[in-house]
Amino acid sequence: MTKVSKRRTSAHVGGKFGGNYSRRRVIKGLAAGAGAAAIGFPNIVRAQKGGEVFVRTSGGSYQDALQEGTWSAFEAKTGIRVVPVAANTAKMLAMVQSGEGGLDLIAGNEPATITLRNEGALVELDKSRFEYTDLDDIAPVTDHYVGYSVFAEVLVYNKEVFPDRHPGSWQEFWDVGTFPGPRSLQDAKAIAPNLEFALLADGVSRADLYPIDVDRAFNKLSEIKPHIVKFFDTGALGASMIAEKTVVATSLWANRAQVLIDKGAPLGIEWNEGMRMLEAGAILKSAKNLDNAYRLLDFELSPEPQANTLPKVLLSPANKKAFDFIDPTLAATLPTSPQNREIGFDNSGAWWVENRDEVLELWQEFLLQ
Amino acid sequence: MSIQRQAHDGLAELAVPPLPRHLVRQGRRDWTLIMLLVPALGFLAVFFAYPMADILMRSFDGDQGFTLEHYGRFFERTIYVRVLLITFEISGSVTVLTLIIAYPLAFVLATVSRRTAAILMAMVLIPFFTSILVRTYAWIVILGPEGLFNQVLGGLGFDPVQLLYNRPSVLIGMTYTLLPYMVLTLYSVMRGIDAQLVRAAYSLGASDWNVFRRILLPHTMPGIIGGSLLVFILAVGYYITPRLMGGDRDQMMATIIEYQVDLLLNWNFASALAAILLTITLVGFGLYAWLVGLRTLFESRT
Repeated sequence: MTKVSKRRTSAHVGGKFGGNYSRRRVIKGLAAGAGAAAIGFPNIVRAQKGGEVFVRTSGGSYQDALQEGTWSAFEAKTGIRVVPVAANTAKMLAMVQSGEGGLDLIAGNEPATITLRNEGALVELDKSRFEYTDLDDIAPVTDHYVGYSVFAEVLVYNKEVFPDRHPGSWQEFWDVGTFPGPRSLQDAKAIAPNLEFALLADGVSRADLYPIDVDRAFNKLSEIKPHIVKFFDTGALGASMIAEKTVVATSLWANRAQVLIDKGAPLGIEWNEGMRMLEAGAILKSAKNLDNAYRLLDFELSPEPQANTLPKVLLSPANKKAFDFIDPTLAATLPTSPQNREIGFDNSGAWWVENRDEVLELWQEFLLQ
Repeated sequence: MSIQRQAHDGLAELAVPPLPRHLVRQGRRDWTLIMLLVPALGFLAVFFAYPMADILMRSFDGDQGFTLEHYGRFFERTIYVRVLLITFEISGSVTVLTLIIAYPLAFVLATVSRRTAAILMAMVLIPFFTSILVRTYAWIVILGPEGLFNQVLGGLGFDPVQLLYNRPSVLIGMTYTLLPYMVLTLYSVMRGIDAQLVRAAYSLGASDWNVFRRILLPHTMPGIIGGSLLVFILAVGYYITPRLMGGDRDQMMATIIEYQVDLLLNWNFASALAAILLTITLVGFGLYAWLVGLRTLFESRT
């Protein structure tokens, strides 16, 4: 099941701008459907031979970059075959609880990773097993997960609709008088709702965002809600709504927006008040290929694979030494460049873990209001 | 053999009379019959009954063993009852819409020549054989801001309309995918009506309206009730269409179950939601069996 959708994902990349989205979304949908419907279908690929490692993937251009920049080199170096598997949090948890295996190494956004840690699904990392990577170069390093990359959620707008002046802050995003047109923001299903952006729009400074005043954020979101066509619940939906002009401005992950821009979509990225988020690497307790998982994690975090992989999809390496291998002009466009660092802020994974369940409950009610 | 005939005969075959008694009476034959059922029963036991029992047990499972707290929570928080009402509202609207569209269509199918009926039936059935995901995305393309529908509107000089991610788009998508169930049910009932009744009514001077009201409507009532219940039951559990085409307010039971499973990892509460949905479906089937009889699901006559 996963195998088919995986193969199709890589096959369609490089298609022309336009007809691509619906196809990509079909595949996304297939993957999501497979994840939701078949909790724990035994992975048939496993049985073939030793020397493999099963890695969680979210597909798309990110997976292509990993294949080119990291996995191929890893396979050449170690002879260990990397098998990408699509899985959501629930599926991963079910895999661990059933002890069925099928996934060894995972990468995911920090809140989801901490959720898995709290459910006892992650291996406590043995720091002595890292050879390629000096963990002192990585931020953050915790008992159960390590930073892998940094991505940014930013304000994305349509340049044809706003040719001269565009919304340049979240306050201006909320200003539907000056910048009219339908909008979108993130749904709780896609990591978390944009409470931070709502507070910024309400005049809270970047330094004072956390702990989030949840009521205040929801009140501010209610203000913009009549102008929201639909809160995007997958990155694919967010991308297609802004690309197909269903909305004229949205929050979106910068790497997603960049893929659209590269294909010719008339979109602009506003880095001001962008939110940096952590993608973390961890090993599942049910891992059947523990040694290989450690080796791949070790390799993935080392400077050169990071440099060869992440900038392609507009992600910043979590390993600071990786920047030695990145062209400075390219580095300047990444989420953690000095310039972007100054105008953006860091998402607090810790706050979200404490409060995520409560926010998710409130979110459902908010949607129905 | 035409598709229409195939469909017709296929339905009729399911209603074959039971095996001759002398075959069934003998004990050996009894065993043969049971053995024939083993593969199907085994499959259902492992892949249907067991997971279903697991879900039911989870829904009563709390920190201290047996609990009703998950069901209590459903009724405590207004949001879940509201989602249930939205689910009924959407399913009810879809049922009415499919009935309005399917009734005249089934009537035409039942009255035209076999050849024409075959072509029309193919038009009903071929989309039915296509993946629901593909059809849903096709609608997203058609209804999109630069899609076919808005291009036609634009060509006629109208402003584009927002037809995606709201209630109308959910209704369009679901009505479209569920239409064949209604058409087939009504068609099988209409085929069974004795045409002489209609002729007799006309010969006695009945108007079109009277023929409809006093002959057609009462005779097709089992089909109307059966088709409506079938569509309603299927609609209550719908997931893909409301998820992909719906707006923020079009949350149905299946979408909030997914939310609990995947985001909140609250599997016991999700099981309770699933059990409630299952109960509603069973009540629907119970009504169906009581009012129409499950046999008509497989038969071509009333």
